[in-house]
Amino acid sequence: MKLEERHIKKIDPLLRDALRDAKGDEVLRAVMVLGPQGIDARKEYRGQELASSQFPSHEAYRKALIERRQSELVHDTGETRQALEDLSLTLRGGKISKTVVVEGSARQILASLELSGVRHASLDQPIGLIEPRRRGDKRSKK
Amino acid sequence: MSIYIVRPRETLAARSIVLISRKFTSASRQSQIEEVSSLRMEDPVDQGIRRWLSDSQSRGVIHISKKKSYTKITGTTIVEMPDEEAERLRRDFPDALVLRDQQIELIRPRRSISSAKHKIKAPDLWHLRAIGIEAARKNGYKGSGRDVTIAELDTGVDPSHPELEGKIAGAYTFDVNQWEAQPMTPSQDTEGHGTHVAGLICGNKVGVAPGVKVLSGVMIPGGYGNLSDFILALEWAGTQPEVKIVCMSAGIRGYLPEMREVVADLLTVGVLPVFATGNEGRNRTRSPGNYNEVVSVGAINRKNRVASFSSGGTLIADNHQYVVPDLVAPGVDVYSSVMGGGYEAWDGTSMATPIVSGIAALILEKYPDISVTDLIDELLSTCKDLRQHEDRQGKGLVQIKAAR
Repeated sequence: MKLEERHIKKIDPLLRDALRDAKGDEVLRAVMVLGPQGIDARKEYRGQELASSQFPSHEAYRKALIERRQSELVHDTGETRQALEDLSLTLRGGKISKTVVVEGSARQILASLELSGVRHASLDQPIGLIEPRRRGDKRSKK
Repeated sequence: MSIYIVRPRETLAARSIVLISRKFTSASRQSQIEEVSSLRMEDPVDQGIRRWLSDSQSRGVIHISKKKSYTKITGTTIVEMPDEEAERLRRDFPDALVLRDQQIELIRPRRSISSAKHKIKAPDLWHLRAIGIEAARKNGYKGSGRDVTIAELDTGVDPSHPELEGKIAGAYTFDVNQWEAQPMTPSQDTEGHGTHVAGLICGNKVGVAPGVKVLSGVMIPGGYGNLSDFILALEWAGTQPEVKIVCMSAGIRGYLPEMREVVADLLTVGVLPVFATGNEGRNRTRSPGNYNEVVSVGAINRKNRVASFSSGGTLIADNHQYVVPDLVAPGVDVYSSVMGGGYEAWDGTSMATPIVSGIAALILEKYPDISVTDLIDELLSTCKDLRQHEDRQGKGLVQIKAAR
């Protein structure tokens, strides 16, 4: 498929290559970050802290933080999520984050890059264990 | 026909902040469940979806989910229906989420079972000496990380190891296609790595915080996972109210922005992410261990020198320049529990990361009301300067000082 510069700016090299090589109806899985450009995530949370001392337990405090975050996300990403679903893309995740896993045809994933609420997208890819060096000869024997 | 997950788009959680302002004791649990169920039953979107599904049975819509009590809480129904019916449901109920289910291909685990029996000796526990725990315990320090739960996202944990008996609060695998964590009973290690890591967190002899409970998330079964597994695992850990720390030693080489947002959101919901930087040496790091939002951990050897394999460097992201790791901990020749019994000495930032997680748990035990940002500051401000470059040692060697 043909990609324009505005598409390439939003995607990682793996997704770029996958979209270029894909036939329109080929199913791809991508990870998308929703929301406007240039948010400093650390700033975003720093201004919103609740004090755990306001709550009867740490669990209650954590529940309040989780529920508030979910509420914020409904507001912040609801329209974009709807637009992605309207493109017949399958969405997963985004419970406490603006990052979602999106699956659907390459044609529709390309179309989703036109949405202003899609900030960045990457092809789903392997994540590896940070493999330690295991030294069996260092075993402490009885 | 395909299987679909159907539920109201808005979660009750978004509207029920009042529910969490009370104690979540077992005595009040049942009334809370009833209250949530009642709210769910009164929800017009939920009512509409249930009516639509009931009326559509003649068009081939079949209910699959049987647990009505569970559905009453989550509002989620699993149905099998033709794709055109799913489209119709989306059109009729814009406030309904209609997600198509997918099969997942299992990644087969690789097992390395050691049947040898071993025991640990005092000289082997240099990692506990280096961070000040051995001396603190000799001087009467009783901290153990009690009442702290750490989510370990790894290969699983062997709970039968004597170091770990009774310490694994639960184990879960992740199904990206159904977007859910599923209990793994009993807990198992699919590769061996996770048992070594868990021992360093909470092992009786080798662990930093023996009172900690570990919630095992099998995010990289057999040592292999995907970015999507990582996102699901972090969402799961972030939404477990008992979890205070996430400990993880996996990553993708280089800087990958996609995981950063979900990691930052762990902080938003009050969870401390402690991640390994990688074992690739100078100026080569891995995401998510190289994000500014995490406590990134490098490794030192017995001579208090940063290990040559320990990843670190200076990064620039969003017009900010910062160094990783944030701090270092013992990561060479570190003894811990191995799957099937016994102990082995391993090298890696994977070994340093649970040690830092354990220290964070000890601080949390002492200051249960501490915020996640203050916890990070406590960890970093009490490190021992090893007089090496900041992009190798960060703030220095983690110490127990802040928890005493």
